[in-house]
Amino acid sequence: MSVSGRLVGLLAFGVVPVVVVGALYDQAFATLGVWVLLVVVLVVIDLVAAGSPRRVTLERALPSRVRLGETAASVLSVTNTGRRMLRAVVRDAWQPSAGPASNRSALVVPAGERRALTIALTPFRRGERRTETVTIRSFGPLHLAARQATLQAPGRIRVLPPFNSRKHLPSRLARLRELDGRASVMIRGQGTEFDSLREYVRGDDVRSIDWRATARHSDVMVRTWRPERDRRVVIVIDTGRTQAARIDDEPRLDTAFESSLLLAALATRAGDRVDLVAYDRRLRGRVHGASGPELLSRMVDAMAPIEPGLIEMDWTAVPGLVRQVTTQRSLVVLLTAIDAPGISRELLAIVPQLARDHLVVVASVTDPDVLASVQRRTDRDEVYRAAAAERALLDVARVTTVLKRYGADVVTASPAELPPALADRYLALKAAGRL
Amino acid sequence: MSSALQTPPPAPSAPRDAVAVTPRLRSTARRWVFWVVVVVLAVLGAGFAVLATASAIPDAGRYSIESAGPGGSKAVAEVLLQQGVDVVRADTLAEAQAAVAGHDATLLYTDPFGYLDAAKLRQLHGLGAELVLVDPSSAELSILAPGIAPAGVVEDSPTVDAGCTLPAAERAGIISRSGTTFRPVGGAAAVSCFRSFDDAFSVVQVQPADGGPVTVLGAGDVITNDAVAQNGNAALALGLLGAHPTLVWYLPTAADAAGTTPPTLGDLTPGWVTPVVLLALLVVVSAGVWRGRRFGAVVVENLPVTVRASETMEGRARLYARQGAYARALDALRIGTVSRLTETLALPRHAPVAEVALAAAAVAGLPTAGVYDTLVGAMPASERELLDYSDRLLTLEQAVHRATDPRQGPRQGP
Repeated sequence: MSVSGRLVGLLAFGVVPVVVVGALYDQAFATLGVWVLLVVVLVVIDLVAAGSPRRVTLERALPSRVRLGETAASVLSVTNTGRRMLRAVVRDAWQPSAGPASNRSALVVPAGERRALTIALTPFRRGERRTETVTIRSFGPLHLAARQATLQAPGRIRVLPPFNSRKHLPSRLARLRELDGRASVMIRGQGTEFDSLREYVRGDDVRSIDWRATARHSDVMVRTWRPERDRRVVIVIDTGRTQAARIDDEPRLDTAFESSLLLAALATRAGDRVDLVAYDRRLRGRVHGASGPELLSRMVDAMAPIEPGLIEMDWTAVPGLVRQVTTQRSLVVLLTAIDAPGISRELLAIVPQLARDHLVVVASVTDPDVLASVQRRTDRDEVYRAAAAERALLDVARVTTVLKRYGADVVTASPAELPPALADRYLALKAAGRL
Repeated sequence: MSSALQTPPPAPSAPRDAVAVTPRLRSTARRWVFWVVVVVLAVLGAGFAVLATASAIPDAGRYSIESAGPGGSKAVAEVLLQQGVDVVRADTLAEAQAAVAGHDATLLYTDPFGYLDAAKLRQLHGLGAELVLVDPSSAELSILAPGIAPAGVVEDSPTVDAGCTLPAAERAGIISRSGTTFRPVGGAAAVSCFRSFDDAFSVVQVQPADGGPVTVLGAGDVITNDAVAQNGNAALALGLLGAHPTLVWYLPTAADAAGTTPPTLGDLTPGWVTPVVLLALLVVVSAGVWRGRRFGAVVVENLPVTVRASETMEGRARLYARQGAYARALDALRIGTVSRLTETLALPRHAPVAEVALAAAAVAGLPTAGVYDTLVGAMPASERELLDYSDRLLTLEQAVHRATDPRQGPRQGP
């Protein structure tokens, strides 16, 4: 049961008769009693006349997935199976991070009819967002008091990573096409393979004229070349505790997701096969053997519920994981944090082993805060901050040096720049034919 | 954003009603019924116990003629009634006045809590009845019996002899000795009985010029149920109190005191104020229910860990600052500058600092010794110098950067 502000107002209005009758006839207490009794009677009438909040059927219509930052419409159909009119305020108990536009809506459902309640959800956190219950507060015709019941109506929506870095995709695809024989610019050399023969057009490199084919045809034929295809890319995402750190108000893990999505989109367009492994001490997510649009949708699906664990990454298992995915030489991208040498010791221990069989790229986010601190030196505290920042950068530089010496490639950039930087590195490696 | 759209009613094979999480009133009541019953039983039991014992508990007031307890005076009153004396109980001065008016009366008066003020005592004095004062205070004596003064408390020794000519005392002979004693003062004509020591008497009677005789009874035990049967107590009590056909037994109550105070705030406020306050209370309670009623359970959600990545850097900076580690801090700054200069000047990664200093000085057009000092040579002696060197490092870096940047420097036209 619940009461409305109207009841409070009605009760408060009783002050008028109490004072008037009290001043004129000295019957203040009796008036008060009569007034309170009147209000109680009205409340009872209202409660009896209110539609039952339990005689209700609930149905949900809800998209199963929404990209972070986008808005989805959650439709809740309320059917009144009771005999009385339902004048209700309905609360759909979404988790706050599901971002419901409003969680209280007025709804009037005549007996035996159905009404739809549409709520716009704009989730602001990745992962599985749920609602378990719907609370209905059913007011009587006087709107003084209400009956209230909480009903089970589970619903869930999966919030996918936003893939904001897809804005970098067109320019990188254009660069990929430059590598490809479809563009007029011909790049021939290591890392390209024979694609097809076509007629010569003005501007083609004369060195690529295939004389034998020209002899067979009446026209001058040139060979076209394309970058090597069907290479493998294995993306390993560290989901351990260092990935929980926020840089530029984005956890390292989310930057890692953005980077791997852009890389995967590019690589699958380039004809390479991409596999994803998210791991800390147990397998948190895995995408294997998908390609094209399916690859991206399976990747975002696998990534959606992953949160950084508060445990240390177990790097010793990573070579085994990569071996499970493929035994052929591939590009292994380790998305992790490069920190002080002490923290990165395990990573440093496995890199030589991986680099022997594969091409290893370690991608890490650098903190723009640290870089900015180096330049700000106006007072004593800032100079000490700059010194600490230099020390942190030195630590990173040392780990980077060791990684490079062990044969790994290192990509570091700020959260906004890491995804394109990693994509560029991939293109560079592809152009150089090192895959 | 929410909107209600009209949709057709459901098909006959509609799903069943949603399962309610909120317990029904009936099941809630069933859950609480045990405790409600326990509480009701406890309250009822306590009520019965109070009622049952209340009837057995006498009016505990001392000298009360309704009380059959040891301190009461029911025995004396009953005997006097049997003897034909009209015993009237008076709780207020007005009642006492009404009872005395027009009768040949004795008025027994004792006021251990001092309810009556001087004005009321004067009214009492002016009644004209014979007064019997039991254990009066000196304030009461000064108005009702100016010729008598307190003479201290007697120790509890068994008995005391009459030794006077008062008829009632003579008939009693011996009474229990307890309570306060009194003595006549100022040469007034007084009859003093039951002498304890020197001039301390348990009963003193004076005959003031105005009004009837006043008897002061110090030995209050004489009229209590507990002691009335001992020695000659009963004879003294009946003798003193049964002298007239009417006995007004006046024990002042709080009602006497209340009538004397000036009108309170409560008397002056209009009658509707209390109901309005009650109504305000109800309104506040209902407003609390209105705002406080929860709209379903609180939704719980696991929140992600938020760690700012630069925490460790900040911590290290604060450690440096607290320790005043200016030498170490400058080292870090210099290593950073040297490594950036090495990169800018395209020197080998492991080039010696001296070589870097030489190259930087050459590019930026600065004296080599000064650049070398800035980069590695000089040791800071204070935080002041740390700040100096830090500025110089920045200036040097900017100078080298300007000199090597193709978009700036001497090559750029006006």
